[in-house]
Amino acid sequence: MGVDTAKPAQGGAVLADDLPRDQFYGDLNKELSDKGFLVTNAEDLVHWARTGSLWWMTFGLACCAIEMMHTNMPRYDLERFGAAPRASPRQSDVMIVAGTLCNKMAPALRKVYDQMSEPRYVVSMGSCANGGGYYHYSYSVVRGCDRIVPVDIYVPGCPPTAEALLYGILQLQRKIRRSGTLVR
Amino acid sequence: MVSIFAWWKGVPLGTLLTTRRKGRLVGRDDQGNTYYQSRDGKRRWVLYDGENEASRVPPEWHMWLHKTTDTPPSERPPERKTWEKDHLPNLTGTSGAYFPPGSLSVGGERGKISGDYEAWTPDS
Repeated sequence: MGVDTAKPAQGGAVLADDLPRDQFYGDLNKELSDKGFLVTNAEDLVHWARTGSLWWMTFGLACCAIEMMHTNMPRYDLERFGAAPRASPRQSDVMIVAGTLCNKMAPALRKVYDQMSEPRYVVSMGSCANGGGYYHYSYSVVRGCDRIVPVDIYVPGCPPTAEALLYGILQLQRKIRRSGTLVR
Repeated sequence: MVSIFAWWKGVPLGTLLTTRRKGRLVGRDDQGNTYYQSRDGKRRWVLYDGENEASRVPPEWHMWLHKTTDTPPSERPPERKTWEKDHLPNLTGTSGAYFPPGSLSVGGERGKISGDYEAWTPDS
């Protein structure tokens, strides 16, 4: 191993210089011990608060919902990003449409979406929610939930792995960070 | 000054401390991300240079990181094919994100329901 074997004796010293953002934490520590409080900019604070409490509406329709549950279970642990399941649409921020959206379910989906408070986001999970998927030519299936509600993030897969959904949530956070402000 | 809460902006504090205590530097990729492993080589991780985004890891380092290979690409760079493009991280959620022409997000007008849909008939 290049660096590993070349400099075995002075490993620690080499690392300290090499670590990125070491300076940053040094400054942070100095400021904290000097003033006793930290100053941040409002945008960062808003983004942190908004992305850090994405309560998601449990809208499981089919097999994708199983993977959605896995994302929430200890192994992938969505809650470490502050995302908790919430059964009431009025108190949730993001709706994960997991599974096949049938014609009969479509009005209910729209009603649930309309009940959610702003700012609200929609994650379309799996082929069926993205564009009808396997059931695209069925007489009773909506060809993508973006015909009913505006979708922020599409997660591909049939079904997507729990890891993929987790990555999708992270992408949603990234999108919120770019576009989210206090102004509506 | 950014808050320590803004974990997406750089290396989180816990990871930095772990890296300082146990990490051995292995290499650095084109984007400036640095790669570390534990002393016994059992654990491998990456410190992103900038935003924490998993897709910023290029494929050759991805292989090493996921233990497909034990030789890091800094030691033996992969053969570069002429048709290969540069590694591009996932642009979702940035201003460079892809939207199809009819997307509402870019103010596009979606055709009528039959506009982009070719119906199948038994005769054709």
